[in-house]
Amino acid sequence: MNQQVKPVKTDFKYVGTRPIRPDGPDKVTGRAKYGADLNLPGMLFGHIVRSPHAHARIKSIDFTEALKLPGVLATMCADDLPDPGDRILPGAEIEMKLKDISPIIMARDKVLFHAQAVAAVAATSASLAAEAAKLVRVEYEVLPHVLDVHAAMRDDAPLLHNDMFTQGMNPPPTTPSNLSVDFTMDMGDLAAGFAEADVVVERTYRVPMCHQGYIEPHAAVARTDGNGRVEIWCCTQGHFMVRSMTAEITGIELGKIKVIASEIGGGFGGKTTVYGEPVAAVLALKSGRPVKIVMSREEVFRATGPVSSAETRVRIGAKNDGTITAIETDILMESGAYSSSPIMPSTMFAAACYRCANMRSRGREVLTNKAKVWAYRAPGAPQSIMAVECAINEVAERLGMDPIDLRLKNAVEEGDVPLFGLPFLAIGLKKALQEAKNHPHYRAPLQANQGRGVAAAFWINAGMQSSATINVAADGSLHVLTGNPDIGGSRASMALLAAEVLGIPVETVHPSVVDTDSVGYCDTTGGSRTTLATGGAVIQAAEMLVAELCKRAAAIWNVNFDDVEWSDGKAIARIGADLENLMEGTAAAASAPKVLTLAELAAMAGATGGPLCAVATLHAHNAQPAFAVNICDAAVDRETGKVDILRYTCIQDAGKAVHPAYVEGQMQGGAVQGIGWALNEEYIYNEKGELDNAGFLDYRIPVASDLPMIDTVIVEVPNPLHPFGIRGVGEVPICPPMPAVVTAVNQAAGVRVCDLPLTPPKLLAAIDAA
Amino acid sequence: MAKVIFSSQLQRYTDGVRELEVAASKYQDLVAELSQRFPAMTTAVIDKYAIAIDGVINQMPLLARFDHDSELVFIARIAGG
Repeated sequence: MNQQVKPVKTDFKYVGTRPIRPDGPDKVTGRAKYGADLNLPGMLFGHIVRSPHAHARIKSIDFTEALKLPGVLATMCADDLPDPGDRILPGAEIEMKLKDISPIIMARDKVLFHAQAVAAVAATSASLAAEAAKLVRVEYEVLPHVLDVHAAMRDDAPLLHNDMFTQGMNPPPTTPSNLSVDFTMDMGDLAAGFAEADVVVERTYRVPMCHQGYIEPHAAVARTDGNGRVEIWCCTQGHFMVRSMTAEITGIELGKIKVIASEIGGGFGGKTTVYGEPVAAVLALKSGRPVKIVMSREEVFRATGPVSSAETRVRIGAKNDGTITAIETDILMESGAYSSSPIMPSTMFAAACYRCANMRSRGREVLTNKAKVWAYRAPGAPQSIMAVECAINEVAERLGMDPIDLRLKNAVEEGDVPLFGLPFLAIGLKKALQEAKNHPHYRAPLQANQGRGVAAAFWINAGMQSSATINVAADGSLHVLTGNPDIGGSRASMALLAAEVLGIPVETVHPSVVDTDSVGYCDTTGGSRTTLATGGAVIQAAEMLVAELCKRAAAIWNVNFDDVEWSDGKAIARIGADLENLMEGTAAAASAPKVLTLAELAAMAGATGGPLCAVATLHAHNAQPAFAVNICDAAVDRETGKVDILRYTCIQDAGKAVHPAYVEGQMQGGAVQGIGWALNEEYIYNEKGELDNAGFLDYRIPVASDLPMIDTVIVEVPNPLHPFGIRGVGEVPICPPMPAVVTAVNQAAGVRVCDLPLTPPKLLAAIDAA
Repeated sequence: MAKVIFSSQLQRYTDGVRELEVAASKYQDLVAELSQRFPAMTTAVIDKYAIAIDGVINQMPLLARFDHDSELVFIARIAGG
């Protein structure tokens, strides 16, 4: 075996506690600075001109009239950006073609969805910029559009890209189409698996296109200095990503870009790309003035990463004793106007919770004239897991078996090999299922018109690259610098991890998210990676600091390095007294000076080698999967179709919960988002290809009054590859809610609606038809 | 010798071969060995995948090494949200 795994730490002093969040006071008092909060002297305001058509050829763009307005100082369109050609974005997590990203910033030749950016202006006020944008004359040749995935796959469908040939087909196709990817993964003998089944369930479930629904719209401010450097302030999940993507899209040298991440009002995957940042940078360079671009809510809905819709046909076979013999999924996923959907994970992970010898999963990605989709927590997994988990519940129903018992009988555990081929190490699915079964919620009686759904889910989690710097101030306080925007409490986690290694109170550790010039490199905050990977860098830096502190203490005492130990924030010389007596302060007086605290060592830093500072950088290969189980009780009003979520419980394996309150927050947030997706959230397009519900009045996300208190149970099965046992926790919470809710609602209503969201009119129609 | 397991996606580049033992003990040698054995399995194809070495995913495996009894699985790169 290749792995050299250190023992996982299990005894913690600070990790696992719930200190007050370091970012909390500024956020609740309004002092925190978000993307739109920066204003600079002489700043201009950018406004983006958007396509009124869902599919059209751009014949010309004329800025003449706009530039006649006094105060309009710069304009831009795709001509101001380099041709993306066939370039692949370097360093991307997955292969991304620049030609699928650049036209979202500014359309080139064609527009492929309504509200796609085609031009921009910068003026001395926001209202003037908006007025000038109306004067930009764009001449279009309108083309037919297609909004439905089935229609888009027809031979006579309007073609979005004439150079798109379906990937994954063998032999490769010779004609272009809107079907961008078609691939199948399989193992075992599917036909034999179904032949030995006593029960077979087959259904098709549809999950709608939705939006990540973050509260803060995208915002950016760019300015240049006398040396041609560009500084960008923006709300983002990854300012290093903003730097590299802005460089690729605009042609500005990467080394001339510095990005500062503001506080962020939600991202959920939707802020792992750029929209206004490159535009602001180009306008700033052209005007020589700072430029601010803030999207309206309507622009956010119409033109930023919605989430793929999916239609999943699932077929599951099982024996009478509950043994699952075959699982087949066929997923049709909508990508919007450019190839970017998470069809790969959707296909790979649909049934990852189950041990089954015979499996097949087909994934197809289809392009339509809608906004290009982008990531949402556990991208792609909720859509296909939704279908599999509902079908598992139906299998249990057909077998007369408890749905948790059915899952326990078939749940994957250490050593099992799922469809995607990677054997599981220690995982917590069975423990989470057992916790669910033992929970009082699961035994509570239900009343008439009420139903209960359970669902399990998997997400793979990511590692990737991170750096961390720890500086020790003269008073012994620690300053932990990392480069991951804090979207879910990572600053508190970084402080706890450093405090744990150094053995000092967490209140003396000050974590900061610093700009791209001030720390090595951090991949984007996403993939449930930050606490694992950036936290790993913090642990390493803290360990390096401990070694340095011991070295300096040894020099001061003139003893060997090996005779110095670090414990509870102090260097202790092992010579002259045993460690226990030193710690208790009962050592002989002669031995007493052989203790130096961090503060004492920090005060002597100048005389012992200079400032105390440690830098660690890594590529984390130790990510391990997360599993979650949800229980949902729902009631349905049979006269109106209204759904009430009565009780909700989330159980999740966190590996080790560094700050349990934040883990619980992730679980609760994921549940709320899944409840919204199941019951209300959907993109509604009209026949012209315009989004009809581009605002929170018509696109309904759950509010507090829609929800019960969401109970949480954290399971801790340590990640065997991480020194502290940490797994990512941010993504898997959104995977089980939809099937848990849908099962509960269908059971309560006595129907089986498979087409989400389960809105009152849809439920009422099903109840009436039943 | 290390064992390489190909997913059904990759098997179209390996003439349907699902498992293979390789002499390589370094990633770069592995790529060369696979490309030589299966001409369709070019560096460009392999570069689209991460590799899991004994269950541990490595997204940028250029300098990765493995043992003679290691199990290697190519896996699609997954982005998070």
